[in-house]
Amino acid sequence: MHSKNFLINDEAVSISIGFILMFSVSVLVFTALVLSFYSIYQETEKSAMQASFKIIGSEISEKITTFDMIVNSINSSGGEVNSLEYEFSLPGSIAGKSYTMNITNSPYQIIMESDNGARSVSPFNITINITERKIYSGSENYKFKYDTNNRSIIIDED
Amino acid sequence: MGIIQNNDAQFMLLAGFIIAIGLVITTVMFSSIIFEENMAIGGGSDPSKNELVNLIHITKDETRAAYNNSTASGGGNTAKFNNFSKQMQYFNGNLSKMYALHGETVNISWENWTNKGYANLTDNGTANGVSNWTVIENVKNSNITVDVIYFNGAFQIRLKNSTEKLINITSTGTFSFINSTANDPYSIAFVNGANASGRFNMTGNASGKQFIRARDYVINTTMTFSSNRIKTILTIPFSVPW
Repeated sequence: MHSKNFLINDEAVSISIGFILMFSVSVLVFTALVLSFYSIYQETEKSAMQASFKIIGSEISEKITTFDMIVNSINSSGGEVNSLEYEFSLPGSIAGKSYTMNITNSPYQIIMESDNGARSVSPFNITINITERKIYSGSENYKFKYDTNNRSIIIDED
Repeated sequence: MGIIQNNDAQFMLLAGFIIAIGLVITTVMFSSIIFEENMAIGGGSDPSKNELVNLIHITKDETRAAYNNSTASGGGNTAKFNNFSKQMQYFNGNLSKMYALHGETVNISWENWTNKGYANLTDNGTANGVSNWTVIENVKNSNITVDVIYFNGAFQIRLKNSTEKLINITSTGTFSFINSTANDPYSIAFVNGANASGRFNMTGNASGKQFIRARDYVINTTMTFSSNRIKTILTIPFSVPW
């Protein structure tokens, strides 16, 4: 008799318990939704930084190569570069985060890194020497300068 | 009326389906918006490297033209240099105006070549230039005049086709040679050009066309170029007249 009652009973839970259950489920779903958006945001921020690093790295390596080409074309014609300055700008921050740019000379590479793990390496190839320099984001204007005594490129803040 | 009264929950299902689709679209859009706003790529017009190379080439052409015009008009060295300077000043003024229209500044200055010694017989006329170099190839006939002012060891002119002929210059002075061939074109090269300085003039026929190769001086020209990104001062030697 009891089991029959259980099978035909269609009241489930009381209204108050039903409300609590529905409310809890709603809160859980909403929290899951917010968390998933947050992780999407984090992941997108990292991939945006990665893409920006690649583009900025390529731009800077292209500028260094141009600098090298100018010096070489003048030297090969028997000329002399008395002074040469090539200005470039870097963003103060990317995706609201700070970053570092490390220009190395053995091998010739531009390594851009950030705390969130975004990293990019852009190789370049030049015939004159370049003085190694690690740039921290913040200051935005820099320039490549030609050191006539050592026949090398130095990086200076503008 | 039927839809509103219907209580089989199909309206609820439809609404749930629309919300789910909307959620997916919003997520994709949101993701791409965040990506775009995080990108930190700024625009900017960098001067092309060819712009600087072009400046060098037109200055070289003008320097040679000015030298040719000044020497063609005759007179002493001072008069020649005055004529040369006039044309270069005119060129410099026009060039500055043209570059100013693009927001760039250019200034050209040149050295007085009247008291300057003749160039070394290297490829670019400087003491550090390549010593052994080919002046011209595929020559059928040529008239070579070399005026050696300074001599410091072996200097030769090599005429080479299937055979090789070396003309030894062993002192200062003016030397002339005429060579022609019917069907075996030759190349003319200087060997140990750094050992001598002076001027040369070659005329004749190469690759079916008349040619002139000549050099008196190497004029050092200083160029100052300044754009929004690049600032440079270059000194480049241009050989004249060719």
